[in-house]
Amino acid sequence: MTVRPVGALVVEVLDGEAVIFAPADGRVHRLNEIATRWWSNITAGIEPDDPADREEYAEFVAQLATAGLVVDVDGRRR
Amino acid sequence: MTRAVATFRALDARWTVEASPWWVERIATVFAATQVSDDANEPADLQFRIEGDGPATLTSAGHSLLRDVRVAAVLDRIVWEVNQLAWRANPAAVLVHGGLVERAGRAVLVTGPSGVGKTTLVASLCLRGFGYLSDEIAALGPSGPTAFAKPLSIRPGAQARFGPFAPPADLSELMTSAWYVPLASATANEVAVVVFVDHDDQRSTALRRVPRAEALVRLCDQTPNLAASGAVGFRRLAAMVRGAQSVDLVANDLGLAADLVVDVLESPR
Repeated sequence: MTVRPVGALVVEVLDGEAVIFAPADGRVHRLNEIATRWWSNITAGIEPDDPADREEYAEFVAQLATAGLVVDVDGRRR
Repeated sequence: MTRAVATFRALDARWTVEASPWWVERIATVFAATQVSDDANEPADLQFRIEGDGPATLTSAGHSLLRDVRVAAVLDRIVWEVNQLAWRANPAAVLVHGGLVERAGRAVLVTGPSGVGKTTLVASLCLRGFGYLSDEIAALGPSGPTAFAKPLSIRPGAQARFGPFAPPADLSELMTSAWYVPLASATANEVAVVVFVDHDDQRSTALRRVPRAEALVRLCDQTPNLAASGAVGFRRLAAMVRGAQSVDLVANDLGLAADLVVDVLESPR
């Protein structure tokens, strides 16, 4: 489940919570603190090794996918 | 017939009015904080022309906007048109739908959807001695907030609370649907408090701190030119939120609500 951000997203982290801005269309999406921890994995295209982490990571990816902010590495919108 | 012209600013835009001295004197009084000297070399983005001091006709760049209407309707329309001009004429700034007031150079941004009581709270804070920057657009430039000191607009439902802002006799004929209060334009160095205001008769006046990430998302919702501002605008909003305190405020009792805002402004970050 390796994904990458859609386009050039802008991320600001405020008190541990990330807010993602998509300049292409002006959409804004807020991540909770857990999700924010995995943002660097998304941008690096790295899935966590630990199975417990993978579960949390998967929830985060689902959150981003629902918001239309990530696509599969092959470019398909999830 | 003698005609006169006056020129005004709406953020980065310029607008002019050409009319009888009776009209120009009154428009200049209402928009005093935004009047600038005439400069024939700098074209106006909007040019109003008014014919008639009784029933009046308003045109802009040759297009008829109103014909043979009450003078108050002419002023209402000019205020509306100038607001629209400001919204579209300042691409360098991030424009938040909200009011701005200041004390000692530290601004309070009052925002929220239409009809929640932004102007009412701004007016209350001005009566407490706050300096006025805007009741419509909080313009955030690279070096801080920029004033758009259009006349403060007080709707009939709120006028009973703001007796000191009642128009003088020579302007009352122009202000039958709203009071347009000409306040001096203040300046501010930073936004210190962001207030998400809500007026609700069913709830007690109360204040709640808003997490910064939530505040940023809600501010983005109130920033119509966010997409046009791009990453620069988003980062500017984030920087403002990072340096400010953000609160939800139910402003039923306006006096108490103003007290609560003052408390936040004076409290340590």
